[in-house]
Amino acid sequence: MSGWIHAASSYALLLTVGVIFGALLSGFAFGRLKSRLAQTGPTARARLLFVLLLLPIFVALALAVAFSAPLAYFDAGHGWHCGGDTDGYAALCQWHAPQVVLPGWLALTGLSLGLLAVAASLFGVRRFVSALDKLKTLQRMAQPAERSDYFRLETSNPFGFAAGLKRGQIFVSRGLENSLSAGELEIVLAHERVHIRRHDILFGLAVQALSYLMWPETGRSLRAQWRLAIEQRCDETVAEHVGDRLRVAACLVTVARLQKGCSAQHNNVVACHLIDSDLTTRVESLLAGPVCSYPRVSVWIAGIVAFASASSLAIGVKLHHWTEWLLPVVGH
Amino acid sequence: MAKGQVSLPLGDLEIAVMEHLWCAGSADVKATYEALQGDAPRSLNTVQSTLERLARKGLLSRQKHSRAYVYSPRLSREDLLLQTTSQIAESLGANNSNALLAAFLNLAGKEDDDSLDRLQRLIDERRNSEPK
Repeated sequence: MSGWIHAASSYALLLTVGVIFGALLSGFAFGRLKSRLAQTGPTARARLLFVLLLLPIFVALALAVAFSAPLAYFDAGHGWHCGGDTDGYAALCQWHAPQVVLPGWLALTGLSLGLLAVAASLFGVRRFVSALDKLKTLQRMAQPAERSDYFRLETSNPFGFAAGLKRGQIFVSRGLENSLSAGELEIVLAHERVHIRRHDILFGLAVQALSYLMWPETGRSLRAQWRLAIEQRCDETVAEHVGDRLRVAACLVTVARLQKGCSAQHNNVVACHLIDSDLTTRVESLLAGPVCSYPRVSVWIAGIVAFASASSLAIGVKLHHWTEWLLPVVGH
Repeated sequence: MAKGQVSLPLGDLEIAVMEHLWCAGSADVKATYEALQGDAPRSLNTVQSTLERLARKGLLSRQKHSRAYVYSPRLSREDLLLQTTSQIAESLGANNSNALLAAFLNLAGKEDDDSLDRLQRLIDERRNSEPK
């Protein structure tokens, strides 16, 4: 097999190992932090959860860097084969792409994993592009509301949402508009404006993609916790803006009642397709008052990233040697 | 595409044609062409192919009257709006649709009336206990 196929399959294998290791690390950290997260403010919680979701990618990249960078130089003292480069492979003390001779089955596994990842990404991108196109149809059918910044959808179903990536727009159905008082509608709009201002939709997409790299149960749990955190962050911001936490809580319950009545009447309508948000937790946390951020969240974030980097680099340097030393032995 | 679902997205002209047919109820190519001349002028062929495309997408039905086809919408405006929003959500997975939409609240019938009543009671109690 030619050199670039060896290099591609080596990196595909390496990235897979990195993602698995990162997912394990993330799952472990999430398990340890779960109880503390409940005492953390929504902003800090959302940040910490996002870091945990990023960990598999971070570890995989750190491993790849460690594998190919001249860090092996620092390990030269251990004398694997850095000093006497007589085995036909490139010297480890300078940068070079991995020049290992992988056994056929291992190279094939690496390549298959790489191709599978590319195919899954393309499928995800295709679905996402199609959703964006459909969103344009919705924008064309919506009417701009008078004296406000949202678009009205002419339907009696009560729902409202923000959509779009670069320039988010708020859509509110006529049903919701007619059922809420002016003050309640303003709370709904303020909530959606916070989502747009903080680019929650864009981050939500990243969270969704990243959660697929985790173990399914951990991924689902992290995703749900992150979404709850950003909803609570919006609730808190709106409560601060309105100056009355109880009004925001009451508005949540009112909208819940409207949507419940509607989903009982119309099966398979919009409300049934969107995610469910944890109403009870959101209302109870609004009633409980603002939560001070757990003071050591930043320390935890720094610790997790530092540990992931250190362990990746430590493994990566060795991995460079081990791979070059072991695989040809296994292969022949 | 699931049965009963229309094929999306729709372009500007397609929406304009649909808007005209929702108002008029039904129309042939010539009537639609004349109705659309107020906006950006389009050729008769463009309007005809748009009507055909909409029929293929499942949005229009057509019936032959003498020598011309008469087109009428198969979905109301509201039904198309709901289908579009549902399809956006479905495109991103029914359970993970929040990637593109950030909804204020969506329960999908998860909370029962009792828990909504309990939450309302909690809010009322808190409001009553607040100093006036």
